[in-house]
Amino acid sequence: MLAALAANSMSLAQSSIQLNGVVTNSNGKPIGGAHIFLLETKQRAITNSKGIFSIDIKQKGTYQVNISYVGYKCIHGCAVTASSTSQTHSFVMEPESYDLSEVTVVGHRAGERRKEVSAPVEYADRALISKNLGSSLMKSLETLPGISSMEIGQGFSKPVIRGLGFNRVAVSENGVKMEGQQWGADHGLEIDQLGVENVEVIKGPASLEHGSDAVSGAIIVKPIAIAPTNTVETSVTAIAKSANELFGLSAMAKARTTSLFAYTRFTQTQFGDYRVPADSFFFNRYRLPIYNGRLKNTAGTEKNFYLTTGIIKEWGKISVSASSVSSKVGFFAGSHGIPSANKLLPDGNTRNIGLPYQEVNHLKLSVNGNFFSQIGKVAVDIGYQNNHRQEHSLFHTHYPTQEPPKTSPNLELLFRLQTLSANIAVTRKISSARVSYGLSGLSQTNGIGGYTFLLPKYEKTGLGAFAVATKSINSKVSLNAGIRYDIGSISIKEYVSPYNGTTRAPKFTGMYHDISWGAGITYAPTSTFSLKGNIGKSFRMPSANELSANGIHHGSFRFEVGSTSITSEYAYQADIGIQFTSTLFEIGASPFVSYFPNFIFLNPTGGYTHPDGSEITEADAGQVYQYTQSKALRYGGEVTAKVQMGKNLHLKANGEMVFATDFTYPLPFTPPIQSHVELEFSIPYYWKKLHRITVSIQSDIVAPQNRNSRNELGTSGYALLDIHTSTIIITRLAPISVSLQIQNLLNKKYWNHMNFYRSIEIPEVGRNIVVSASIPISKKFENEAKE
Amino acid sequence: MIKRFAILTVALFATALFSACEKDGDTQKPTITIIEPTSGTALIAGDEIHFEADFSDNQELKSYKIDIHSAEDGHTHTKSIAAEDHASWALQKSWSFEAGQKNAHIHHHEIVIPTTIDGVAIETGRYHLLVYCTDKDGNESWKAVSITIAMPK
Repeated sequence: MLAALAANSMSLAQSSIQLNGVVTNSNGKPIGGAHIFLLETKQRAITNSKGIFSIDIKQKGTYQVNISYVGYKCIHGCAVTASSTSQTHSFVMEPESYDLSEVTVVGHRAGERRKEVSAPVEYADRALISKNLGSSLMKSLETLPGISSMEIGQGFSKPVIRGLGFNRVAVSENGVKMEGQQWGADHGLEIDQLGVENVEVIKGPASLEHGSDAVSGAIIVKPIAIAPTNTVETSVTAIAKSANELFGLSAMAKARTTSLFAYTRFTQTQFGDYRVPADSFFFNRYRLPIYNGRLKNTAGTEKNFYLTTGIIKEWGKISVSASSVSSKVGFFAGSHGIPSANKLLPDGNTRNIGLPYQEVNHLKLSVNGNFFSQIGKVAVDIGYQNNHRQEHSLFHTHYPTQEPPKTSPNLELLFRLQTLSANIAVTRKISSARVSYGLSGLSQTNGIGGYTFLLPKYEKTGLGAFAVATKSINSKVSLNAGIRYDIGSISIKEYVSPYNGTTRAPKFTGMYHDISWGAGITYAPTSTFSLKGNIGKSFRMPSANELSANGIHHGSFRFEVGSTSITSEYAYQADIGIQFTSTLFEIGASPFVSYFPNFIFLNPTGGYTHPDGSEITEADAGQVYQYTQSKALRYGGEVTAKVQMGKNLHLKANGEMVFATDFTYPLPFTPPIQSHVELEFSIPYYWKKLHRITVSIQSDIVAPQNRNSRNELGTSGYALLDIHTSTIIITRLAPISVSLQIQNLLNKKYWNHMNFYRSIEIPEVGRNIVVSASIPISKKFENEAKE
Repeated sequence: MIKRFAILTVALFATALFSACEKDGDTQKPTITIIEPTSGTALIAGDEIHFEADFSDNQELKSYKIDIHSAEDGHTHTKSIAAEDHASWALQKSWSFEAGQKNAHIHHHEIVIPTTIDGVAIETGRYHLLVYCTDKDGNESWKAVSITIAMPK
């Protein structure tokens, strides 16, 4: 009685006490970033990297706690008694079983997976993407070591892993490999970056599980986490950027009853011509003006829609998804054809999209299923994609008989690539080994249009079978090995010019098949040190452009000619990963080497006549480049370091380099040696009404790239300074995430070696202030009455 | 197994280090000096163009190309939809250098400006004349001059 009184008076005297807890997974590893919600007081918290949270509460008593984290089963209404500040409550979260399949591991378990797999992998989650929000997904992921992007103006970018891109990187979203015009210099990835929660990047050959295109790596965009049972979650995100006056809105809603779930997102962005810190640029020793510091006709719009719905039960889950990513972006007025001063005169409107421009729509439908059966976990992904790409440029021709088309007279090039694909994979334990095996198939049709010709119509089919096994030898050593067989055919349709009767593409059918294999080892003698190694062979079937391109590839100022004698490309690769982790610091190194006996590349022929002997009459054609094969060697690697400097401060640094040669010339588009340094100050807990405050200063230090291929410009080095801040503002309605970034703080004029506009010497974007705010609102159905 | 694995890996890295030596590929571009026509030259339709230029390369010249197109409407296209009352003239023609040449002086009158195309008078006014040149390794450079074309009086 007395004790109770004393306790009571104490709680009165002490205006608040703390409810402390630690959240771990079933292996006892802490879960950082888990959301905590106190039902009675509607207070929220997020766990720190050690899985610890604490909430200030007014009264002692019993509280109900909800804990959620993507990929784990939610803890609902767990009753805890808050009696003394010194007590720490433990919560154990169980992983959501349908996520256990090896191919759909989500990013939050990055740490664990990084230890398990021998392949070099990088992870990015929503927080990292928001923190580095660039003009498109790949630009936002560029800070990851070994990952870079090739940018096309603002709004488009292509992935580059360890210096290779185009058809050598596979991108999969929602279990389906993206099929667009990856070979094109001005093609960007068709993914809504605001709808991406978790990304896994495999550096190095990932052909075993992702098919023959993943010769240099794979980017795997994970499915969106399903909402907790009986909840509706909605969120609205708004973004604004100063450099191109971009405004964007994205709204999301997801819901789940016990077994039914749905998710939808709609995103729209609009931007104007982007600013560069220059009033002129030098092109081939001619000085050309940039009026008002803005690059004429680089404005654009993007409109994306996503819908998925499904059912989740003890037997697994099945979902149906539809997405549409559309964009219309102008090409800088000087980038099609040789720049001339009068093309660059402002038209009085910085938000219009004039000729030339590109318009892309990527429609994707998929059915994804994960089932538990007696043979193991079965994952099935069936996808249909329709990539509709149009390039518009004012009608021009050299054929006296060619008249402008009656409809869309300025449609220069059209590609309509339709892909039907299906994968099935089974993962099971066989004695002490985890084995997965599967099949994948693809059928593709490319249609063409427009008043010029670059690539013919073609049909492609492919079939692959793989098996991968991982086995722990003992607590320190685990081994993995896998093999894959692929067979595919491509059938190119003949194209005869209706204007002069020449055959621009002869009919051709090619059949390609081969085996890829890989083996890896993970050795972790102590909890602080790990050593990994991988070796493998992969191959890539030649793509349609390598076999039969025949025309001007705009923006690259060259006439490209394919060759049907091109054979499959092989790569032998080895890599090593060394990681040392302690409580205060982490260091790692991951060198790699790969050798291609017959690397496919565009070789400048030095001639202006077609290999068939005819004169090339297209304007601005430049010399003829023909696809050829040669030996190539690539090596390099990444180093990473992270130092905890006191409770709230840490320093992160990484460096990367790639050396690539065909033994006579360096390979083109090789990223320069570069490093990224980040000093971050963060308060992971509450501070007044603010939660998780972070302020970071980042710098990219890039060395000059003077190892250039023929006709490739060298690029000087530079250093950039960025400031990124973010926090969550706790309001009565919802916790509002806000972030403010100043990219290129010093408004530095620099050139990026990997930019599509590099060849016309356009400098990069100047100072760019990026503001974004996101308001999530979530509600539980069953508690509605109580609330 | 592990041993063989390690040996293979080491071998690959060693190959990389020792074979990294690159033959000295030529990336130096040829140079072009256009002597005639000079920028601003006024030419008359029906006349031949007096073309004179010097080309040189550190290794060996390969080919050159002359590209003439109207610059009147501010873009480099040759048959615009707007141009109905006059035909836009354009020319793309290339030549190869004799094998082994490091320096070449080219002088010819092979290009004749037409007065009409299919009976329609050609567009007069400003034109661009571009000269491209490559060496045997495919290194390429280009130069441009602005000229004007007028109808004969």
